[in-house]
Amino acid sequence: MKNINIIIASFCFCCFLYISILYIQLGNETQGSRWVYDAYNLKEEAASEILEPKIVIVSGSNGLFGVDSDLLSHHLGKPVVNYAVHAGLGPAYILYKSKKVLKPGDIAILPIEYSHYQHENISSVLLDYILSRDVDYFRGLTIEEKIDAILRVSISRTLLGLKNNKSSVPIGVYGIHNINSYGDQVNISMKDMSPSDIRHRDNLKETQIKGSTVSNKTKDLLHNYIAWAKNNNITLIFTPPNYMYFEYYDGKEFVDFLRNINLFYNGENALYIGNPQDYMFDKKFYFNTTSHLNKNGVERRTLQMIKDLKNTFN
Amino acid sequence: MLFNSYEFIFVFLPITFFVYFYLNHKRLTGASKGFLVFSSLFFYSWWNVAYLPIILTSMLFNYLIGTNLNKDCVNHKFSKKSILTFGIMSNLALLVYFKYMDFFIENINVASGSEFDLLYLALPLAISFFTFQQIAYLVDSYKQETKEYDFLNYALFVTFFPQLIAGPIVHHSEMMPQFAKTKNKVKNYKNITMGVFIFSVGLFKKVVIADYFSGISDLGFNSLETLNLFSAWITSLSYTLQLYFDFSGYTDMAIGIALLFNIKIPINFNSPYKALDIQDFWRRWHLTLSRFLKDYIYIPLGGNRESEFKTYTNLFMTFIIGGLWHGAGWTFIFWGAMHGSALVGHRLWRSLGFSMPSWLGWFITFNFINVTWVFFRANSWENAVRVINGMFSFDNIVLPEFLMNQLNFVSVYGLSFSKTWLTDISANNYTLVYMVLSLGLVFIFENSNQMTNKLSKNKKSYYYHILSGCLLFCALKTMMVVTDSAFLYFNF
Repeated sequence: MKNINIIIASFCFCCFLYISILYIQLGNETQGSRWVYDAYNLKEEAASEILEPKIVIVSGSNGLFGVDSDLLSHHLGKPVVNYAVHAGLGPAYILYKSKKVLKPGDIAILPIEYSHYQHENISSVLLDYILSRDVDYFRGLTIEEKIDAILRVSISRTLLGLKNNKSSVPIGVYGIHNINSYGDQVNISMKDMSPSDIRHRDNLKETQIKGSTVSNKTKDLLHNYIAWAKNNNITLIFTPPNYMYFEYYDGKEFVDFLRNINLFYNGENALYIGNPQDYMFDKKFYFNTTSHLNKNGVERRTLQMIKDLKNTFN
Repeated sequence: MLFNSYEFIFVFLPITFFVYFYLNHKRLTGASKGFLVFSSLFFYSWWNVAYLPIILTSMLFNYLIGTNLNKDCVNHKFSKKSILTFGIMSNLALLVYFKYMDFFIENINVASGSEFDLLYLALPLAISFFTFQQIAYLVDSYKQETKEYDFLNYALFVTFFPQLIAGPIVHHSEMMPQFAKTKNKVKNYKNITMGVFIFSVGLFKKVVIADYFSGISDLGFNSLETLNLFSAWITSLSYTLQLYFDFSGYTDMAIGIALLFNIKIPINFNSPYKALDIQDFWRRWHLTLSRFLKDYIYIPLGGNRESEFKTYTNLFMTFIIGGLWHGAGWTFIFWGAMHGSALVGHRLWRSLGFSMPSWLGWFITFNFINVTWVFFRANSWENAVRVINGMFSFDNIVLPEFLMNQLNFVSVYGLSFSKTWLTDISANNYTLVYMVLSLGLVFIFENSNQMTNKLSKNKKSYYYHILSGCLLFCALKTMMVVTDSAFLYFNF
């Protein structure tokens, strides 16, 4: 019996130690969260400099790697800020952040990633980010959300945070050195891709969905966001995200899923513009993931957006 | 229900444990056994209740055959040998129908140009294991090595949940006397602590190590059209580690859970990747299957009692059957043939009086096993060849981009640099560290059986109990982050 008590004590001590370590390292920087932090700062600065009503792109990286804001601005006649950063943060955080830059009279264009319509749990990317760069958000979570977050932080992430290495300026694809003053990702033309990158891109597969329904969590989230926008005189325009085309997306399950998204927006009286199939492009228009377009793809997608949005703006 | 799921660890196992010992405490021995059988069948049905009639029918059939093979129950119409043959053939027919029928139809279609429809039968869970275990029971009954013939006991022998799904494959004679012992019917705290320890080790192996490497090997084997030299080796080594930590983790958990009930089931692994030659490997890997193949296939074929050539043939045939047991596919047969050939080669080498340094023997053996696992893992022949080509082709070497400044001169030899040098298989620099640590665990450290032996002999082994709590914490914490994943041997 004594030995069983030792096992239980050891287990409890590990739990205590783990929670202590987690709290001690709150706010410690991690390298992985650096580019997201820098990108948001850059984009918030760009947004703050615009005093007139503006268009803000709100989404994950399908917006970052998918919109030519200059071209969009030129055709729609309003200043544009591309506030899209990283889908891994999840819809709750992306929408929460957008409230900081959206002002009355603004228009938010939301090409929400399909995975976000089935959002359930807090992601590891968001956990990494809020523990190191947005501790206030973590502290602002409800007790249930906090417990859930603590349970979901991996041991390796906790230990990484403990190291508290000052993160270096990112090199490679991700980082503000590759983001222009509108907030768009640049240096994504074919000449920026090595043969190995092209092989990697060509090996990519479709993202499968989990059933054809929109999760209740996402419905609640969007419902509240739409209400907030209405109260603050902000126009919301939901559009399809860009996705690399695969036959899978013509299948019944996915088509039903798209129909359910439409039904949801209809039920909310929200504006959803564009045909999802028009935003699915061939592999050759992509850069390094199934939702990151290359320069040619960005142009195609932006022109499609302009075509769809022009009627609304007129 | 998976051993590595919260519903098993926090609901099923505690309820089964306490009710079983409560019934024993009330001297309701029959009820306690009945409850254990019921719990085991519930555990089995959790995946798919449709499989339940199959295992029940199989059990009833083998029980009746076994009873007829009993020396006290002589059937005058048929000889015992005919009854045994009928029993074995019926078991094999069930296995062939569910596991191999589509494989045969496919090959007949290819060979004859016919177009017979495939049956697309779902493989009932654990069918390979419970069929082999019951064949062993029939043979043991024929040899008069089984001593009791009560159906409840027999059902317990077949369905006892720790070993039902993926072994270890046990003999009736090594299990049933343990259930009969009076002292095993009361809670034994020493066994409980040892059981929790070995369960924690197994859970850690599965959740923290095997599941990590499974993501990499799955991508490498299934997702990519080409693999560069490094990603191909990382893919194959990931599977080599995944398979060992997954299956030995499962076995550790099974041994640990059985110990909670005061039942000792045989070990299945003894540091197999430390093997110095291929024979040594098979004395360390999946021991209960090796024992079965030796006792029920190799020896009945003639073993080494006849000429050298016949011995080699028997050895080779045993491993072809061993390969086929794992799955209905040519890659499994080829895997079996490779191991059979290696064992024949090793025997020949030894009989000629050759030897080699231990380190070289280990190096050759480990790499041979690593290469053969590629065929074992691949879904198709093309997939296996694709990975092997990547491992041994030097015209597709991609190095990490951060080495470009230092090693740029190698570009003239066709080597390239990329930031995505390992990202194709979701690996990164940490993967290499993790891989070295895991290889260190299998090559250098004591295995779980050795640690459990030490624990059982040393009354003041606080270290192991503290380690037990830590491993359990790490595993349960990791389970929060990743989704439950089934054990690899559930497919066989």
